[in-house]
Amino acid sequence: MWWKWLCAALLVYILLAGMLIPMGSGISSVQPYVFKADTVFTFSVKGVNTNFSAQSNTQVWFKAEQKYFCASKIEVVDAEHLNVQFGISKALSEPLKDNNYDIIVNNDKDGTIALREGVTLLPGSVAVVDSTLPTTNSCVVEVDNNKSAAFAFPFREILYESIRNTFYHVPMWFTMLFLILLSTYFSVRYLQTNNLQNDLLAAAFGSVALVFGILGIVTGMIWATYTWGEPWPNDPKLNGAAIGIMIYLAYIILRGSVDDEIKRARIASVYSIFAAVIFILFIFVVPRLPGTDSLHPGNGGNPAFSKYDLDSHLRMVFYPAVIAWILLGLWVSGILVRINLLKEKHKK
Amino acid sequence: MNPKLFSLLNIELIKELRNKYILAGLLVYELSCVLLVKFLVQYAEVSKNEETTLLALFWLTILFSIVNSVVSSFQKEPEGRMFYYRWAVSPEMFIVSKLIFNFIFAVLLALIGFVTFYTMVGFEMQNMPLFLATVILSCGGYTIIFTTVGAVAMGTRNAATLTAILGLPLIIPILAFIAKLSMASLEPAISDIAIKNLLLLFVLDCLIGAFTYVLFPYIWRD
Repeated sequence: MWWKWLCAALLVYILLAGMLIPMGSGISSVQPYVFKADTVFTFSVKGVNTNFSAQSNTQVWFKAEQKYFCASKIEVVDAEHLNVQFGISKALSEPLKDNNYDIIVNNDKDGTIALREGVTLLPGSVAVVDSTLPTTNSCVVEVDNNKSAAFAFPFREILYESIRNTFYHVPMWFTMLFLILLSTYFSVRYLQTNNLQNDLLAAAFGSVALVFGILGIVTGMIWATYTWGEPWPNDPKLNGAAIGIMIYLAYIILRGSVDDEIKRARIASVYSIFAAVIFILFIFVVPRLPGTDSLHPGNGGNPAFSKYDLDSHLRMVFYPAVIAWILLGLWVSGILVRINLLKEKHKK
Repeated sequence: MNPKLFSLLNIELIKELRNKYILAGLLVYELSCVLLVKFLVQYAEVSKNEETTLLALFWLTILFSIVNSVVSSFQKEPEGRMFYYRWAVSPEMFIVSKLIFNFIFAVLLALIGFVTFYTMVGFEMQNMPLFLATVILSCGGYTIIFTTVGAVAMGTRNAATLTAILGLPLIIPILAFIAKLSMASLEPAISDIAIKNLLLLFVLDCLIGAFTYVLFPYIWRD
């Protein structure tokens, strides 16, 4: 009983904390995003949830190939807008192979924030060369603090506010996998013991796994629409998800096509075990085949979630979310088992 | 509208809705087919040449002829003969015989399909041994999966559709290998990756074959 209270409390917690904790500060855009060597440009930097102010000791650098270049003049427009003057001489920029410059802003309140590859240096020079630009780099990088003081979720380009989907989409898959493993376990138990209760459990876990799979797909498709630009990009993980759903739909149809309950239990268990073996092979082996790429974190050269996006504030909600959704899955399965038991009783 | 025509249409609708599982089955069947095409096309990393579309069509042709052959192999068994088998032979013996026969039959079907497809439709095949090895190994995988789900669906209502519904999602891992290997056979030289994929496909066949061997006695018991 206590774990149902825990599940409900955690769900309330992730709903509240996941929605109420604000987004951290970051840079959303820089205009213009291209520039040329040998002249001073004025870039207008747009921040999100930032605290730019004259008092907060705001510094700006441009960075390419691990080299920092200082902005020549910084003008604070308001808390979320900066005008930055910056120019680079040909002598400094030419030895660099990378012509994409990160923009890095530091102040006392926001810590260090950056827009990776925010501006691009175009080849060629301008008509009137500004000869006052320095030809050697004398930029000093010195910050008081790197971390933002605010209690917030990390700001990531592309993800932005949708990072909160981490508490729904990712745990849905964990729950689905967990329930599939349970369903397979009880199918094996049924074949060992011939106890119909095991089959009932396997069926309930399988059906609830299907529901969580569909929820995972829906949350994933919404997320993908805003981050990858289309709801169903070509990705091996999406295929794995689609197959999992087809397998468990087939499992439910198989169960519906047999009237004799002992025969139904037996063939459904055999199919469930056989299907789970292939499904698990498919989601763990095929994505690792040579020449397979994935957009998901942790695959095909993308950094894993834990390395990049799961900072300590996200973890505080993410781990409880995993526990809460798994508990909810178990809870719903339990109710389903009891409904089916009552139905069987009613038939007799 | 003619009232008789209307009531006939109504009867059709009621018949269709009477068994929801058959209706859902048809939907799943259709979705699975769409997924198959998507996966074949996607794993071959297409839009590079038109050969992949032809290959996808070829593999679908082969796949559905094998499905039909396996389904009919179970429907040909009358109920009485199954009782006799249960008395006369062990389940392992029975499934091994079914697997061997269905495999040879599937390879023959695939080879006939390949020859006719190659001569009538035609595609630029550069590496015939690799392609034939892929055909044989994938026939092995198809046979094992469809024989197992055919045995599972045996004796259920509308076993033929059910066999396809149960089997189609399961063969997609094999399709992933098939697509990669048939793309590799469009190039004359055999790469290390192709050899590795061929070996992995063989290992996959053996693994699911082992599971069929272990699980079949449970279906057989009655």
